[in-house]
Amino acid sequence: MPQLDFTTFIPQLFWLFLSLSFLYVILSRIALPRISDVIEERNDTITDDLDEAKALSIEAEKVVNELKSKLEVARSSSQKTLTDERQKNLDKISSERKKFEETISKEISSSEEKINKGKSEALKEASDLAVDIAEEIINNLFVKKVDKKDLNKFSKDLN
Amino acid sequence: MASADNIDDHHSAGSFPADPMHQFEIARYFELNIGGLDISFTNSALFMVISVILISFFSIFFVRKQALVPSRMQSLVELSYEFVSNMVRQNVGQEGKKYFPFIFTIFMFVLFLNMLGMMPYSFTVTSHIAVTFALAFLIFLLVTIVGFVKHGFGFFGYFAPKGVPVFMLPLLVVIEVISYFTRPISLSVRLFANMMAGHTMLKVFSGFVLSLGFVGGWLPLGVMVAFTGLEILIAFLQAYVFTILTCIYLNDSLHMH
Repeated sequence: MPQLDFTTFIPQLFWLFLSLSFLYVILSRIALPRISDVIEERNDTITDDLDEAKALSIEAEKVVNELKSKLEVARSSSQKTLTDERQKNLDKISSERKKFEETISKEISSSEEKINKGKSEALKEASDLAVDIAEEIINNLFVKKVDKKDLNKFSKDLN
Repeated sequence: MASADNIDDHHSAGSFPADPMHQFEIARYFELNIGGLDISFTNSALFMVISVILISFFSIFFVRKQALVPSRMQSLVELSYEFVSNMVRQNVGQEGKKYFPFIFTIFMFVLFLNMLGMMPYSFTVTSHIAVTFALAFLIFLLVTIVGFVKHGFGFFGYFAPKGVPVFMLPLLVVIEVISYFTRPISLSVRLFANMMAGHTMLKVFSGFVLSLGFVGGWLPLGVMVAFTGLEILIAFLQAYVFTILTCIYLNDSLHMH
């Protein structure tokens, strides 16, 4: 069994010691710091990027909320303007109508008055005319003259 | 490569087409001797050096751009970093961060040695008990030092868990001490035995493919393909187990029981 050949132990151990210490120095002084630097830098970059992304997303949310509230305000104000305007128009319409109705009713009443006046005048004239005609007729028909006063009285009684 | 020559050398010596243990032999490429210390450059050393070069290249070259959006290879490096980092965090906690480079080094080293061993004609460094025990003992030593630095002599309290009846203590202390000091053995033998057994088995089946010839060799070949997949899984799994046990030992030292 070559493993138990003690004459080979010293050279094996010497080169083991040499190569292991050499490797340890190379790795611990040169290689490992570089590798850990790279990994650390990458982790830092990733953390930074994630932080930045988080901050940006918060900002974006803020902007969205602002926009939403602005939209809400605009919507309610436009709603208010709309109802106000409608109310104003309704008021205007109703006042106009009232005015119109008043004018109309005034006109109607004045026309009625005029008509009534005309009517009574016409009636009076007609009755006067009737008396005159009756006087004429009677005077022509009968010898006896009829007093106009009596006829008036008669026409009044008729009426 | 010299290991390929070695296999040819062996054909004349062994009765089997390829001795399954031959792959574990240490081949000396350059004889080196400094002050009586034999530090010859062997196939084991070659693969340790290759793995150090590969890991360094892998973890430096592919991350050179330090891109925020990583390329595939950079992603792979980061993935292994995060893998070990999570392991340390979950098993040791925040205090384990200080020891992360050490644990990452252990994981990558063992993983690459195991994986390189899966390549044909390569050598599996972790199939040698000398290497795995040295690694495990190093971990044991460091973890014990960390425990004493953090808790001082209070670290001896580790062997006497709180809330245990007094008459049970002598027995329990003995058990705790034994289990603590066998840690480097269990840690090293687990890795070494897994790697050696797996590679031996692959070699035996590849021997069957050769000895059964063109007609009979297909079945062991199929089995070998399946076992190769399994061995790759084990190569990763053993690196993972070795590392996670290191984390658990470290956690014990830092936080006691």
